[in-house]
Amino acid sequence: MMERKMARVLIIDDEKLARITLRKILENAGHDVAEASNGSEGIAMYRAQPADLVVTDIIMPDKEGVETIIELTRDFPNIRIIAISGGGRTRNLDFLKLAQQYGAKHVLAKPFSQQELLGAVNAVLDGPSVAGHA
Amino acid sequence: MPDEIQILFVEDSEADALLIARWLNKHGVKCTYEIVDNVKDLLGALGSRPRDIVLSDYNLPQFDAPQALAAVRAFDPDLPVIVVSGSIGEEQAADLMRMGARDIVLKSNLIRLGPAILREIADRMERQRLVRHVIDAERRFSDLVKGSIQGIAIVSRHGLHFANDAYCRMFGYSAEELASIHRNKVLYHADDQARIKQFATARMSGDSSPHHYEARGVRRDGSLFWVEHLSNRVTWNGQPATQIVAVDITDRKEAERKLVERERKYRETFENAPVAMFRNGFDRKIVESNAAMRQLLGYSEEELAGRRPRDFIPEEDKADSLPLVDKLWTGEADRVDMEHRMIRRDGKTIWVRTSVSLTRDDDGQPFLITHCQDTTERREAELALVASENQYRELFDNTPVAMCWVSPEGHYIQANRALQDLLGYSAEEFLTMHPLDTVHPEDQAFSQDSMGSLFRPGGPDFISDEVRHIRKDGRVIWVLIAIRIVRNEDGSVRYILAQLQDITGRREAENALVASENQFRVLFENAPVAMAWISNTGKFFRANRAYQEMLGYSESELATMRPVDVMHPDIAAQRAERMKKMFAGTSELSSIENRLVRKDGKSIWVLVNAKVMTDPRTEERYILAHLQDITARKTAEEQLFHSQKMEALGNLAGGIAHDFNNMLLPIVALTELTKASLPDGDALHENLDTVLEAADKAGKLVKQILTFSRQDQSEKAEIDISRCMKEALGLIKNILPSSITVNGHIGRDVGTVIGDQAQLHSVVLNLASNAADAMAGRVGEFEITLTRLATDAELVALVPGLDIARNYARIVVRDNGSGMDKQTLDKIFNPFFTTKAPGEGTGLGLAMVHGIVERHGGVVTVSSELGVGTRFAIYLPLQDTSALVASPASVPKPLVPAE
Repeated sequence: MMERKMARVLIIDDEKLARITLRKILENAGHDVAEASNGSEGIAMYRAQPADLVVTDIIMPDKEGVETIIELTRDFPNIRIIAISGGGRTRNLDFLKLAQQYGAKHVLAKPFSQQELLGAVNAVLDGPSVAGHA
Repeated sequence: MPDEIQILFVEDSEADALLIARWLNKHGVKCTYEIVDNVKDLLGALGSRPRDIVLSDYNLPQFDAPQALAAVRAFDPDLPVIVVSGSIGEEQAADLMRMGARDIVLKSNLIRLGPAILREIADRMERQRLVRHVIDAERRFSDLVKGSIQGIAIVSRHGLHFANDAYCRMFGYSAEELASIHRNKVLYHADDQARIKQFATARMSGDSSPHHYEARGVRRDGSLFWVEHLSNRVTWNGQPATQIVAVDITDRKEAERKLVERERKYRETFENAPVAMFRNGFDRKIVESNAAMRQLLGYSEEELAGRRPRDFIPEEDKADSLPLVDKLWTGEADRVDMEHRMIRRDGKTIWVRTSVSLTRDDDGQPFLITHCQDTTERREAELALVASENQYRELFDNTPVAMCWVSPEGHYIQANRALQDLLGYSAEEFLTMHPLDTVHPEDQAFSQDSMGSLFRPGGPDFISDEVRHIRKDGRVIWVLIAIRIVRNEDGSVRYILAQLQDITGRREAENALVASENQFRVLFENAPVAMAWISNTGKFFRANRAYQEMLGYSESELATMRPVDVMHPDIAAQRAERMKKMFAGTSELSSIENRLVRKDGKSIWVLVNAKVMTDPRTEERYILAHLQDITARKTAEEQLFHSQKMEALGNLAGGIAHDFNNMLLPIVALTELTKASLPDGDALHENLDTVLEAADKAGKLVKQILTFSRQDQSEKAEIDISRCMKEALGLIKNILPSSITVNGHIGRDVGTVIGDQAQLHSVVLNLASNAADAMAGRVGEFEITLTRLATDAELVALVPGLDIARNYARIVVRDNGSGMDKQTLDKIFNPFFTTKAPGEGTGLGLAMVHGIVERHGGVVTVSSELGVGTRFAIYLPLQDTSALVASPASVPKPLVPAE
């Protein structure tokens, strides 16, 4: 795991504690981390400086996750996205499944362990991108 | 005054005589005188020649004035005596005057004597002249008496003093003979004697009033005659006597008797005449009235007398009667007859026929005789008869019922107005018609038969039929005809009375009603809405087909049932009360949701619209109820209510879970990160493991919340429910304390359920956990049973929410723990409801059970009894396929991967 090359990861989560946790785990694993607190901000940051991986929450104010994913995959077809969620506020909609359908390479339900996160990050980074990126 | 007066002196002295003679001569009165001084000479002198006056001295030697006075008066009472005296006492003077002295002159006052003598002589002369006159009159009177045709007699107690010729002739006796007989006893009828004697005695006793009486005289020859006596007291020869004037009144008496007799006869006839009569004069006043008249009017004779006939005639009859009577007085008529009313004394009015005629009495005075005949009865009978006839005629003619008389020959005798109106023919037209003429051709034969039967011997007296008639205007009408036969004594038909009633409207209405009733019956029977009539005996009166189908009972079954018999036991009593109120009228209309139980046991919800109706004919009250099956709606409502509740709670729980997971993420991840950065064997590892363990428990709790609120993702697969429950039984045995005996009756090959095995496990584990809590460490039993149920109506009725089209696996979980009361039971599936102490339970266990079962399309029911235990039954729909496809048990994904 340590021999993995560093990746630039953009975290989009409205929950500050979640962003701190993710940053610590990812930086501990040697990744370069950028944070955005909502979808709009995340998209703007990605446009300014694309990342190797986007980890985005689903339920967020301003612009929520699924919409963000749709926009990012539309504009950046080769983008790698992991969707994370603490469970829906609205029932009967499986947001994580939805996120996967719209282009998230992996999904994780909160809370998850650092192994789960890093496993997912590695899997996505190692996996093929549509454009054969990396 | 005589030329020369003769004076007789009773004197013993001539001087006084001379003195007086001289005074008389001096006053132009010649006189001669003679002087006596004793009685003998006095009487001789008086008898020798007439004297004009006696002058007597009071005291004489042989004689005195009283003696002289008595002698003179005895000789001639009319010869005046003057007493001349030298002195005389007053008492003596008064005695002399009483004895008859004309005057008393004192010698000392002789100057008075001359005028006294002249006065006395003048007086005597006047008396004598009067006497002569009287004697003349007496003679004339005597002649009159003697010659009178009236019998005149003078009688006294001494006998007959005088009787004139007429008197003698009257009795047939001579005067002498009359004087010698006892008049009273001989001359009068024995019956009259006492009365005559009584009169005589009265007269003799001083009764001077004349007595006038009639008596029966007896003639000498013994024959009787009527004599009228006028007797009065007279003085005869100075003695009291009776003068009797007697008139023979035999003829008059006879005439009178005849008159009285005639009068009596007339009066009797008048009085006793059977005809009421009265007589009145020109002044109209009633003079007399007879007994019949008095009886007629009720007044006594006295009351009627003086009143006028008009007083008894009522005002309204006067105008017609009184003027007629006037015609009699004016001579226009001799007799008038009239009939009018009179008012009796008792106020009753009577009818009287009067006949008044003018006649005259014996004196030629006109008067009216009126004969009255009481005609009240006749009059009333006549009036009653006329009224009765009129009444019947009017009744017959004006009765709204059409009627006619028909002769035995079949001719109309009379048809009343109503019949004329009914058939349109005039009364005259009917007279030319036959009763069958107007009968409709199709009813002719029938009517002829009916009529014919009336004439057959022993036939009915009355028939009634409904037949059609044709009016004159051609219109056909239905008529109810009632015919009655009136028979003669010999049984033959006298006439026929028929009544006809137009029943066209009724017939049409009846037809319409029958049609309408049929329509309504068809409508009622075939209405898609369940309807029932409930009688006030509380029983079904009628229920239509939809009702029968809705409840599954046949019409005949319902006929023996009461509406409460099909009601759910929970509400039957309440609804029965309500029906009672409706029948009592305190509740009119009812629209209410009702829960009924079908014959197959299935319970259904219906909306009942009920109204109390009254049968207008029988006054009986019914409830007409419309029932609409609202079971589906009701179930949907219940489900909607429950799901709305769950949705709200789910949203809440989902929100909490989301944020909670977010919180857990740093706790779990950073604790792990921290742990990883610690060297092995560091004492802090243990602390951090505790944090992780707590976070893991928190994560599971959130998972539970999400499960009941369907926020999580479950994986549905075909599950062999028998195997699934066997596994669950194993888990239960592991988690329940050893004090609890676990009995499992898991049916084999129950079937396949589409679902999440892990969730189904958690359902029974949850229930087992609750059971353990309910037994609170005591020794108890826990039982789990799995059976396959073939769904039927009964089951569906018992367990709302089951689909009759599907079969179910039933998991029954039972404990003999503390049990629950009803309030608790009602709430146990609510999230966060717990009976456990704070911190011991989340209140989410049964909510999750409910959520899972529901998501599997199943139903969970619970029953419990305090102190006995609790029983949960879970119904899960089975796949229709009978083949059991084994499904690998999927293990729930651990929240935190094992280290």
